Amino acid sequence: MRDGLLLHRTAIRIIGRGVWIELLRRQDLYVCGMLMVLFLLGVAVVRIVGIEAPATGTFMLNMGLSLSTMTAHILTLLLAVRQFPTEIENRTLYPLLARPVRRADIVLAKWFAVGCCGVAVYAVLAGVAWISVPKLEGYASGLLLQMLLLQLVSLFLLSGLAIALSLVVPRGIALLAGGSLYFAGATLRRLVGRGDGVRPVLAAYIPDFGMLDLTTRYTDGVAALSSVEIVLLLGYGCGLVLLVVAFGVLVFNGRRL
Amino acid sequence: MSEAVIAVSDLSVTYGRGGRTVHAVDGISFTVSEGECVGFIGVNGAGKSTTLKTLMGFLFATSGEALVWGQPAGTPESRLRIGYLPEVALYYPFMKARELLELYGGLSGLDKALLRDRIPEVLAMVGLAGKGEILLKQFSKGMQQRLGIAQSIIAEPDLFIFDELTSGLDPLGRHTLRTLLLGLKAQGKTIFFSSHELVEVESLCDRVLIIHQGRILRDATVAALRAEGGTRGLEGFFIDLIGAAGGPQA
Repeated sequence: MRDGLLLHRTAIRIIGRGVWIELLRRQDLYVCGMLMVLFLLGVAVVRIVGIEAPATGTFMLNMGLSLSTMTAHILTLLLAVRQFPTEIENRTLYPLLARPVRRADIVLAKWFAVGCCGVAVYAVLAGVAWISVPKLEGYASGLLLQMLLLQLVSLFLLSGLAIALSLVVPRGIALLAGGSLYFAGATLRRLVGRGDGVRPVLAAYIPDFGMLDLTTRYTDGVAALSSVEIVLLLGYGCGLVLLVVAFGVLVFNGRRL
Repeated sequence: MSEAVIAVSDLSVTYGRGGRTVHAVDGISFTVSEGECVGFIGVNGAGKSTTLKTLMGFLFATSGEALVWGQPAGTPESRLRIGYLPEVALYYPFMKARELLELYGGLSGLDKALLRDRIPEVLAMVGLAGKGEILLKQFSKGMQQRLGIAQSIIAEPDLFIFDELTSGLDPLGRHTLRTLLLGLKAQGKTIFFSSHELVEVESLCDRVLIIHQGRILRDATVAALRAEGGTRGLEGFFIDLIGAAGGPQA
């Protein structure tokens, strides 16, 4: 406590714990678990049959890591878009805001907690996929680290984006918009960017999650990115994270509840 | 009873709805002093919840001023010593009662050790003793409201703001709540609440504010209003006053 007000990190930790409990007790996590069990069954079958071609191992690794990426992102999106709409609908936001906490802290706490949940799910799923698949080809370990780092940024970006969207549009539309941006950000960017005037400027603000996903590059056995490339990509992702979180804070600060 | 815990001056809250401007609260002024128990009554849509939400910072004043503990309403500083109960909330179904109180208590600045002792105590006070480990999805509406009261008193604040105090409570729940509020009142806590239950208001409050169409129609002690209402008491007075003001739909 400082002057009776909660420190930002204390508020973030306490609210974050609530989001974590939600993740653990809702059914979404079990769906993820079932998907991963199916994948592991596939790996087991391939192992029993015997992997001879290195390409089969690479295919399995790519599938496992891609499945982990997609599942963690979908779970993050689902968790993020329901945070504020549910709180408002059930009126639980009132007792939360009746505490000596800043509105900004609640947005930051939700964003951070949802992002952490996504990262935790990704870490478990990707870890299981990576360990379970036999590696018959050489993969760049530097690129593995770069891939994990960018996935972390990508999950926090999606968390911030979905929360910001859910503060301005109904939950269903936020889910649809968030999902479209995650799965088709690059296409949307190209479409919006066509032409002159303000369109290319607008397009630059549409996040391209594909740029932050190095899974295929890693499983293809390509070399790690150069320092400049990875710094630029991290800068791109972190810049977008800052932008969406700041937007969410701004909207929530001015919102009538 | 000296310091103004709540000071509202010429407060207006306006918003747009369906292309027209709604004056939910229209230039109201009042104060609530330390240690007072004040009831805030009015028909549906009179402006009670809007006023309470503005005091909490959930809504913003269009003009005028609202101070809580001398701080502008809605700032974290103004909320340091407030216990707030919203009108029927559905608390997180995936949480246990203990976890919910840990969340709200923690955000009020209580540490874990203190919460460990305080939570069973508060649950017992609202008639939920031994229910701390039950998931809230199994709680009835009345139990949720009791839990709402528990979260509002967990940090032992000095000011209580309750929106529709007895909403969702059965007669037993109301009795528990009345006993609790009388205890808080005896401790010198300040209580400001809205309610449709005029009998509750009459039995608990020192003073009553009657709001209608966003304006304060009366601000008087319960004794004075009861006297004006004659044998029909506060309820009779309220019905006559609203009738004279053109009725609920005016």
